[in-house]
Amino acid sequence: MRIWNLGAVAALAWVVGCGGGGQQYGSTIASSEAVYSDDESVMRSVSQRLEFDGIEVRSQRSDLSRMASSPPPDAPSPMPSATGESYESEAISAGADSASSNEGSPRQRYADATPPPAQPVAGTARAGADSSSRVTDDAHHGPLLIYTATVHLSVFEVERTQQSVIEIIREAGGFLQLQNDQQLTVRVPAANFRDALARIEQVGDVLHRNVQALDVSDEYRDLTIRLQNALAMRDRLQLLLQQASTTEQALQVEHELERVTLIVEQLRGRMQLLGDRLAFSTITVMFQPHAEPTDQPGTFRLPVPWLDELTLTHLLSLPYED
Amino acid sequence: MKKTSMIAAVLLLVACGSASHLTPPANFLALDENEEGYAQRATSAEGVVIATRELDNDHEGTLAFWVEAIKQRMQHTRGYALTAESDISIASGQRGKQLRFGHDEAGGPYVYWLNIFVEGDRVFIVEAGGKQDLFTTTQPQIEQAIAAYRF
Repeated sequence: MRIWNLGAVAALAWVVGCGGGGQQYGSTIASSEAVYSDDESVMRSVSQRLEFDGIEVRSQRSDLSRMASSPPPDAPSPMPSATGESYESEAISAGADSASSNEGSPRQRYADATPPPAQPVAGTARAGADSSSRVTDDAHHGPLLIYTATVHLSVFEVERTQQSVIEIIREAGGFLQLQNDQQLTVRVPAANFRDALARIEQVGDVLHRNVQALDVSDEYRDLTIRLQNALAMRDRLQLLLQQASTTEQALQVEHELERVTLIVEQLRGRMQLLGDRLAFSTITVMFQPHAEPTDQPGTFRLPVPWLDELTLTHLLSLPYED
Repeated sequence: MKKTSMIAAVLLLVACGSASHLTPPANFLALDENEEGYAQRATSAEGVVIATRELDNDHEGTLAFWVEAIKQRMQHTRGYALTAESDISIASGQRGKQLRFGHDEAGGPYVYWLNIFVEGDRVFIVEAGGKQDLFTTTQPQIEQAIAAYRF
């Protein structure tokens, strides 16, 4: 039986943890080759596909499955957990796991602004659970966009207007994240972002508007693959731990296992965060009261005298009776 | 006799120089006409005021033009917030536009309504305003008075 080189395993774990983006694939594969030196053909084919086929998540997964289901001839068998299916289920459940421990989130704290469960988008838990599987689908259908908007409104009665905005957000299935005298930050389901923004802009005069769509497709795809790799690595390390014949070997593997587990949690956390940002767009509304005249030099003034007399002050200035 | 009364009424109208008429709410006090450019003005004891203006429109600007000019002036020059805008019709059959503005003055919210009508070379405006809480209690009477406006 072939003896696995722990140093090579450590190198693989390091690469899984530190690799990122397109370079990660090559690095991971290089390390895999160190482990599965007898399966070079499989690794090379995977590498080529990833490098030249535009990095496609589903392909990567199936290739990982192929890698896992084709253990090296000398590797201990069977490898029950190291299958493509398990990677997928773990990757998908990653979001749900972390989402389920989301108590105390802003959504919870502002439960009064949260819509009833019948609303179309439930919340972070669903976002997290869906996000991983959605990535694999969206890799084919379009970019993953995080929408954010900042709107400066000139309004009459700031407090009342803020309530109007909160009501709009409630109806849109969103929730309140931050509120102070001059600002509201709200989160709305991405599907309702445009409608909610349009309605918010009607509660006052828009002084300034900034809308951004951040494409996180690449990052999400990278995270997904890195998580898959990390989970595969963790499974292998767990198997190695069972097979360790000396205390020294066991300690070495445990050390690596601990590190890979930390990486898994970090990746899951980041995916959870992105999933939440993808599912719920962020709108920040800045309120400026209409208290002061905004007459600026250069402002066009129609030369009609009576227009200047249309003011509350003029209306309410009553003459003394003789 | 009846004919004489009618002639007297017409003469009275001409003498007053006002082609429009607004019946203020019952609890309002009518002030002297032609003060501060108003054709009519009346106030409640609490300070909610309703008034009318009759203005020359020599170049025959359309209702849309004057509405836009007023919105521009109120919002961008004077800092008023447009809280609502709607079509409105009055007792004499003309259709106009009602602009409802809000404005914070002396630390409190105030309401200011402008109802604009255009008839040939004349522009007719009915203004109403006051502190928001007081105005709200008088709002039904104000709306009734505007609806009964004639020119």
